[in-house]
Amino acid sequence: MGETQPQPSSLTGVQESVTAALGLERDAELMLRVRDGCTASFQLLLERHRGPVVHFLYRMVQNQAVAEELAQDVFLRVYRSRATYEPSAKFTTWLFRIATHRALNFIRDGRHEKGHQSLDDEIGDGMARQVEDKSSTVEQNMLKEVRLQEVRNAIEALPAKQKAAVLMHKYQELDYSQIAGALECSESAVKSLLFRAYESLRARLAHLDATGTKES
Amino acid sequence: MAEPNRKQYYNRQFQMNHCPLASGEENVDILLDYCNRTLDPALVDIFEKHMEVCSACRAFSESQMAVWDALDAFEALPVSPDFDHKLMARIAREEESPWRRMWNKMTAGGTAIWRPLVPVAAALVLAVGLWMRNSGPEAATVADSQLDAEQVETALQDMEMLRQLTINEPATQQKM
Repeated sequence: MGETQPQPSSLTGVQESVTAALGLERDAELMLRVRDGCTASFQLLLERHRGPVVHFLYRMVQNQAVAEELAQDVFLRVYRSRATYEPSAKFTTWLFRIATHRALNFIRDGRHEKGHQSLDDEIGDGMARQVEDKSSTVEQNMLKEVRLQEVRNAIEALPAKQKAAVLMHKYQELDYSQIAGALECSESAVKSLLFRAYESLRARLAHLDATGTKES
Repeated sequence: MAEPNRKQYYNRQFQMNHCPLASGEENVDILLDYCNRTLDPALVDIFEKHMEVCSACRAFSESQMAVWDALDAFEALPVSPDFDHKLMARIAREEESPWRRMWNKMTAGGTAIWRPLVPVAAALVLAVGLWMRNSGPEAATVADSQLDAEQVETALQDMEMLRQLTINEPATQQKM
């Protein structure tokens, strides 16, 4: 897998007209247009949310190929639901609810273990890209690798629902109400989940200092 | 909680030396938001004043900020360039399915034409259920009457056999 290539986007006209019609939340407006048969609007939604959904799923299952497969299912589900779509909740909340369901089902069904078989290769591949910095020394790169592996292990060790809450909070920057909507629980339940998840992460990661080295 | 209310609430809490760490897991959002640097600036001042006297919150913040920074190491990978192409191919395949086309027709334009049929179908189910319930005892009566006829027939046959037996018996006695 190489660098991100520009995705097809000759949709400026549509984008402008859609932006002009900002009565509703932009994503909801786009989704309503998809409902009316506008595939260009679906493409716009895909461009806006493809990255966040794949990244969330990648951190959930820790396998890029599986994450992309699950993300495809998520967007297919969105497309299938276009006819019955009602903008009652924020689009992002709805989207992440679908993504969380897919990820939790995948983990629950034990396919997660299967995904791990190819994880070592992927870790090597992913790390090579993430830590590639010609100015860094070999030692610095190794330290970064160790740090990344510890973070991955700490996240992997969390219970699935806590993991989903932390990933949405930390990386997707969703607020408590959106996370609650995605996990179908109350805001106070989300705060409890986050508190317990960060408590576990603090116990496992607090020994890492800001430069990525282990404190003695 | 709305921001002005939240500010007043925490002001009151901190004036009474109430620590957010001691008031339950669901009240730690102020701590998490402070560590994530997303806390309202007005609340930051209030919380920092509290931390000057609360070593527990100070320790929590330091370790939480370290974790927050450590998590930055877990970067996501770029999405495959053929992601959209694969998705659109799946959608196209699905659209070609005759069942999907029928469903799309039924739900076209956001108005699901089958929706008004739901109460009609429910009424039909109810009517059939009621009819079966009412016709149940009748069916049982018919079955009962068939059973009765058989019993009567058997009883009549038995009586006929007994009658023949009683007619034949005196004749044999006379011969002896």
